[in-house]
Amino acid sequence: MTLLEIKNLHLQFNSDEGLALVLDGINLKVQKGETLGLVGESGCGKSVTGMSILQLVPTPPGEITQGEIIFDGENLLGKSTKEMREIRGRKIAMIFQDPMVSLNPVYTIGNQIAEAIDLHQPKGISSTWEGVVDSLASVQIADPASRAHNYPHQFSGGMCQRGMIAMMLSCRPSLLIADEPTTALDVTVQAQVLKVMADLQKELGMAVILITHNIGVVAETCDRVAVMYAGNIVETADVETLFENPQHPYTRGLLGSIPRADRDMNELTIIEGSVPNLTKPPQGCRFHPRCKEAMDICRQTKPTDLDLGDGHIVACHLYG
Amino acid sequence: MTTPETKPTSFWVRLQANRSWRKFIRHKPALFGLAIIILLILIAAFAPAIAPFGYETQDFSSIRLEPGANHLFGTDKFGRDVFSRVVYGSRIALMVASLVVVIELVIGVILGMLAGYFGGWVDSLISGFTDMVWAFPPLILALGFISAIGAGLVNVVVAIAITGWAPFARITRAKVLSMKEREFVEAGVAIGETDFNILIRYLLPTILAPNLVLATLTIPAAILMTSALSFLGFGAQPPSPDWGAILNEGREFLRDAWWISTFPGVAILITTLAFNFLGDGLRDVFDPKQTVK
Repeated sequence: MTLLEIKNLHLQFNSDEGLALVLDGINLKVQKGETLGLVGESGCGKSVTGMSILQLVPTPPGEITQGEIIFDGENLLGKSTKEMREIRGRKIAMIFQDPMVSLNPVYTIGNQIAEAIDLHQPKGISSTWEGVVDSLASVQIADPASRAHNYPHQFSGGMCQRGMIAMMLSCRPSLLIADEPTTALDVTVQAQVLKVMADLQKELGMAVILITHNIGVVAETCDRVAVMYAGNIVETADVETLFENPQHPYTRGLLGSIPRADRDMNELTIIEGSVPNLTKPPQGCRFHPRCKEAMDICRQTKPTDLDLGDGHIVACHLYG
Repeated sequence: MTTPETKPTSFWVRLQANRSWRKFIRHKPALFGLAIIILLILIAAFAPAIAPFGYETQDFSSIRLEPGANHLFGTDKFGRDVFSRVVYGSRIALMVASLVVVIELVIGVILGMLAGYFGGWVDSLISGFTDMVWAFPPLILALGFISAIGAGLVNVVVAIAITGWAPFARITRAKVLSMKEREFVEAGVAIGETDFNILIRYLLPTILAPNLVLATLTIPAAILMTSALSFLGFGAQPPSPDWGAILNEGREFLRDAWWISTFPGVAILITTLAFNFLGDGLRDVFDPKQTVK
C-alpha cells in the first residue's frame, strides 16, 4: 500500500545568481513499512526532497512551483501551517545529519523527549516521563532513567543520535525521514544506530526514507533505492536489481566508482566532469554532458520515466 | 561496558567547574566593580540608618558649611546635609537605572526576536523603526518626550526607556538570525513545535548572555541620563535628592561651596565606573574567543 507519493515535484530557489531549479519533476513512491534509500552526490537535491515533504524548506528563497505530495491520501502541499504542525513529529518525523547540534543544548534529553510527547499526546507528567524512559530504553541507552536527566553535551555522538531517534519516534510516526543519520558518526557507531533504527522500524511498522551518499549503508538496510542526479530521480529499483542490473549510465558510473570486496576490480571507473550549475542546467537530460552514451536526443528532450518491469523505473533515452 | 559518572553533584562543585565562573572570578576589574555595586545596594537599602540627617531636613543655622566632622560632605544653601542627600540619592539612581534597563530589555528583546524570527516585512518594519529611534540623539529625544508628558521621575524613566531600547532590539535580532538556522531549531520545527515555543524554548535561552552584558553596560548610561535630565531640571523635582539635581543646586555656588556639586558628581562617577567594569568583565566572560589568563 502506498503511504507517500510525490508527483512531479518542482522546487526552485531564488538566488542572487538567478533561479536554481533544485527539484525538476520528482516522482517517488514509498510503501507502508518499507525502507527507501535516496542516494546521490552532494547537491543533487536529496535533502531538499526530504525537507519539502515536511515543508521545512525556507520560503523564500525556496518555492514549490508544481507537483503534489500525497501522504495517506491527502496532499500535504494544500495543508495550512497549523495542519502541517500536527503532522510533523506525529505522523512524519525527521532526523538530521549531525546529532550533536540537533538537540537543544539548554534542556536535558528527557525534557526534550517529554516535550515531543506532550506536543502530540499530552497525558500527564508521570506517564509522559514513563514514555521518556521507555523510548530511551528502546534505543538501547543504558540506564535510561538517570540518563534522561543528562544534557546533550554529556552524551556521545552515537548516543545523541539515538536520543534524537527516541525523541522523533516517541509519537510513533508512520514515516521517518532520516537525512544522513550516520554520516557524522564513526563506522562502529553507524552500525549500532542503523540497527536501532531497523529494529524500531520493524516494531512500529513504519516506513523510512534514508537519505545518504553511502552506498554501503543502502545495500545493508534498504528495500528499494532511488538514485538522484541534479534534481531528477534517474533510476528507481529494488536493492538487488539496482546493484545487479543498473540501467542508467549515471547509476552504473556511481556503482563502478565504489570498490567492492566481492568483485575483482583492477580499476575504479570515474564519471568525467562535475555536477551542473542548477541555475543553468543543461538542455534535455541533465546528465548528458557527462554521459558516455549520450545521443542527439539527450541534448534536446528530457527523458520520461520508463517502467522496465517489477517497479524498475529508469529515466533514460537509451531504453526509449 | 562502563557507564560514565552521572551521579548528581552539588551546586558549589558544579559552579567551581564552570568555565564562565572561573573566568569571572579571575577578572579583577569586574570583581572590583561588583564589590562597589554590592556596597551601593547596601547603602541604598540601609540609607535611613547610614544618613545622619533626613534628606530634606533644613537647618538655617548651618548654611553652606564646609565638610567637617558634623557634616561629612558639608551642607547646602538650606543647611541640608549633603552626605545624607547623596546617600539617599543612591536609592533614586539605582531604582531609576534598573527600571529603565528592565523596560528597555523587555521592549528590545520582544521586538528583536519578532524581527529576527519572522523576517520579511515584520523585520523591515521593526528594523526601520529601531534605526529611526537609534538615529535620534537620545537626550534630545528624551527632552522632547518630557516636554510632552511633563517633568518628574516616572516620566524620566519612561522617556529614557523609550529612547534607549534600540541596541537591545538590534543585538537580539542579530543573535536570533544566526540561531534560527541552527539544526536544533529545525529539529524543533520537525517535531511540530509552534512558533511561540520555538521562540521561548529554543531561541530565548541563546540570547540571554549578550543581553545581560548589554544591560550591565546600559545601567551607567541610564544613571548619567537621569542625572543629566535632573540637572537640566526635567527630572526629580526639589527636594528630591537626585544626584543630578543636587549637582544643579550646587552649580551657582561652585566658587564658594565646591562640596555641594563635587560629592554627588563623584558618586555618579564611581557608580557608572563600577557598572562599566562589571559589564566589561561579563563581556569577556561570555566571549568564547577571548581567554583570560
